Amino acid sequence: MSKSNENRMGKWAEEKLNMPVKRRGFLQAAGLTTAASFIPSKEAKAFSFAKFFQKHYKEMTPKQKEKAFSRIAQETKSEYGVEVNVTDPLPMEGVKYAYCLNLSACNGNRLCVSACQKENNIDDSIQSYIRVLEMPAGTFNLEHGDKFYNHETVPKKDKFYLPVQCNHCDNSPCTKVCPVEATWKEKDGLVVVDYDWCIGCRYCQAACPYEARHFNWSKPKIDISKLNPNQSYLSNRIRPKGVMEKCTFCLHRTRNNQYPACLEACPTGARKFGNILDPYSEVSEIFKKKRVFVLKEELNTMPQFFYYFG
Amino acid sequence: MKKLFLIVFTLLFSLNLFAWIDIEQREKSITGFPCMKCHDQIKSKKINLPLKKPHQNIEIEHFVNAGDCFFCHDRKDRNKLVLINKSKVSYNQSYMVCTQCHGEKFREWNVNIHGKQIGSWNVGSSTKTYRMSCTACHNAHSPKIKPMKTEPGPPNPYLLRGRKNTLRSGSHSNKGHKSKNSHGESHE
Repeated sequence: MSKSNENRMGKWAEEKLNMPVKRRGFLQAAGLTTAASFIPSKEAKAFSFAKFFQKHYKEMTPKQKEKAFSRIAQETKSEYGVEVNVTDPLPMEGVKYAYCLNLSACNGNRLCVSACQKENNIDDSIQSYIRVLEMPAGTFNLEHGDKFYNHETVPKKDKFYLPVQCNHCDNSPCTKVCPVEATWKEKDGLVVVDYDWCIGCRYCQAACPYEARHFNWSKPKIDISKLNPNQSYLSNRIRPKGVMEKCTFCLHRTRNNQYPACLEACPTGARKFGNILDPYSEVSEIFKKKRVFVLKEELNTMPQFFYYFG
Repeated sequence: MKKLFLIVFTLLFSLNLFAWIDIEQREKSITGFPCMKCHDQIKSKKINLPLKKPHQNIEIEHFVNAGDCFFCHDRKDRNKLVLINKSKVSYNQSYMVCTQCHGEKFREWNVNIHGKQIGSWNVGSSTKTYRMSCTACHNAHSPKIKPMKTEPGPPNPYLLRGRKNTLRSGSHSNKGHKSKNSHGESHE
C-alpha cells in the first residue's frame, strides 16, 4: 500500500513540475501573495499613517505636537487600557542641570533603582536606568564592579557602591553617532531620544562609555497598576518595541521644578541635583567645597554627573 | 557664654534667610509627643541610666560619656531640648543641638551638601522645598546609619544560564539513579 502511495505522489509531483508555467497563472499567484502580505496581522496594530508621516520632534509645530501627543495617549489606551496625560515640558531659560553623588553616603540599597523603574515605566528586562556597581574598596576599575550583587543587607564590608546612569555629557559620543539624529542634547543639558524617530540601530549603545543606553527588545511588560500616567513625550511615555531609551534626569519632573525620582527615593541623601548656573544651588556649593570627579575623564566626554566623597 | 549666644543667634539668622525652605517638623513624627503628658506626673527629678520602662529599648551609641540624658533633654520641660548655654530649643529645631558638636556637618547641611531635600530644586518657585532635619535619617541616640535591605538588581543573564545548566544536570543525575536502581534489582 505505502509503496503504491509513494509512487502515486511521486508521479503527481513529476507532472506538476514538468507542467509549463503559464504567464496568467504566475501573475495571479504573484498578485495574491503580495496582496496577502499587505493584510495587517493582529500584532501589527502599531502602524499608523499619522505616526509614519510624523515629523522630527524639533521640526514639529505646537499643533503637530498636540496631535502627536493625543495619538500617543490613544495608542496607550488601546494597547494598555490606561488613560495617560502626555505633555511636553520645555527647557527653562538660564538653567543647566547637573547631578552630584556622594559616594561615602551611598550604601547600595538600590531604592533609586526601583523608584526609577516606577517613575519611568520601564520594562522588566531593562529594569532601570541606574546600575549600582559594587566595587572592591580601594579600586576604581569599573570592570571589577558587580551590578548583579544580591545581599540581604548592605553595605558589605570592604565594598563601596557606585551608581552609574546617563552622564548627560556635554561632548556626548552617543548623539554624534546617531545616523538619523533621533537623539540630541537639549538647551538645558539633557540628552534626549525621540522614540518615534529612532530606528533602533543601537549605534548609540555601542558609543556610550557608561552603558547608560538600553534597547527595547520586545514590547515593554509593565505592571499597569503601577503605571505612571503623568508622562512626557521625550522621557517616560511607554516606549515602542525596537527603540533606545535612557535616563533623562526625569525630564517631566525636573522641568516642572521637581527633583528627579531617584533623588527623592534615596534614604541616605547621597544624591544632589540642581542648576549649575545658579551660584547658590547645591551643586554649585558642592563644586566650591568638595573635590568632584567624573567617570572616564580621559575620554573627554565632559559628563554632567559628578561624584564626590564626604 | 556671650560668644556662644552670638553664634547661636547668627545661626538662627542664617536659617531665617532660608525661610522658603520648609524644614521637616520633628514633633509630628515623635510617637506620643507632648512628652509632658507622662512626664508631668513623674515627680522624681533624677532618672538616671538604666532607663525606666517606656524608654528601655533606647540604645545609646552616641556621646556615651555624657552619661546623662539631660545633656540634651531639658530636665523640667520634657517637651524641649536644651543647649549647652541652657537655652531651650523645641524638637523641631533639634539640629541646634546637633550643631554644638557637628558644626562642619551643619554648615554643609545648611547649603544642602549634607542631608536630604525633596520637593523643588528651584528654591523660590511655586513648588515647595522640604529639607529633612538630622533626626529624619539619623537616630539621635545611635546616629550611625544601620544596614539596609537591598532592592532586586537587574536581571542576571549568567544566573539564568546557570539555572538551565542545573536543570540539565539534574535530569542526568536522575537517569543515573534509575540505571543504578535497575542494576541493584538485577543483582537481587
